[in-house]
Amino acid sequence: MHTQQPITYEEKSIKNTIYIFFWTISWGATFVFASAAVKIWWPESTAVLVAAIATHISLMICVIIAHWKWLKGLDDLQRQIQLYSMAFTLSVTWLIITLLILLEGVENLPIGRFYSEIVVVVMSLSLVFGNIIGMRKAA
Amino acid sequence: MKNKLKVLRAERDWTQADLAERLDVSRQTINAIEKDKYDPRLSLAYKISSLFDLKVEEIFLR
Repeated sequence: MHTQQPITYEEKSIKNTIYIFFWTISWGATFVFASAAVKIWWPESTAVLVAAIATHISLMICVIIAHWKWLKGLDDLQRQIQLYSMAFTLSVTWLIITLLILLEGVENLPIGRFYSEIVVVVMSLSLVFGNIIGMRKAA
Repeated sequence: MKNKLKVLRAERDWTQADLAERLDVSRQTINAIEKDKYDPRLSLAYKISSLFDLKVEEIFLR
């Protein structure tokens, strides 16, 4: 009988990362589909729109579960680095959002148009920055 | 917290990758523990003590 080799930490990490990649790509595809559904089928075909949004939300849940499993599969140090990075990202995001709310009142400043783009970019950069700092401190 | 992990590993002629695989952690974690940059949690400390068949306080020193 064929016995399965025990999976190593590295293999487990790669597997969980592939899961995240797969679910994120799928989620992205449903986002495109849901966006198209809003533009094309609303308000004529509500059923398609509801199905598109329901699929999108389901995939979103799968992405969250994949991230949770990935985090759970990390060892203590790696998990600590990721959690510190996330805490850093959350703090920076709150600061940026309050700053954007303040700047929204300024006339002739077209900040409101790029609101979500700015937040997404700042969140991504602060997560990468937090990871780099954490990795460097542990190296 | 000081520890004797590097010495114990060297005595057995294991690389950091070997030890990491035995403990089911990343090589970076072993490196960080050996350099006293990271203190492992109790569960990992017990795993290390069990692997080397020593008491936790014999590996991790104050």
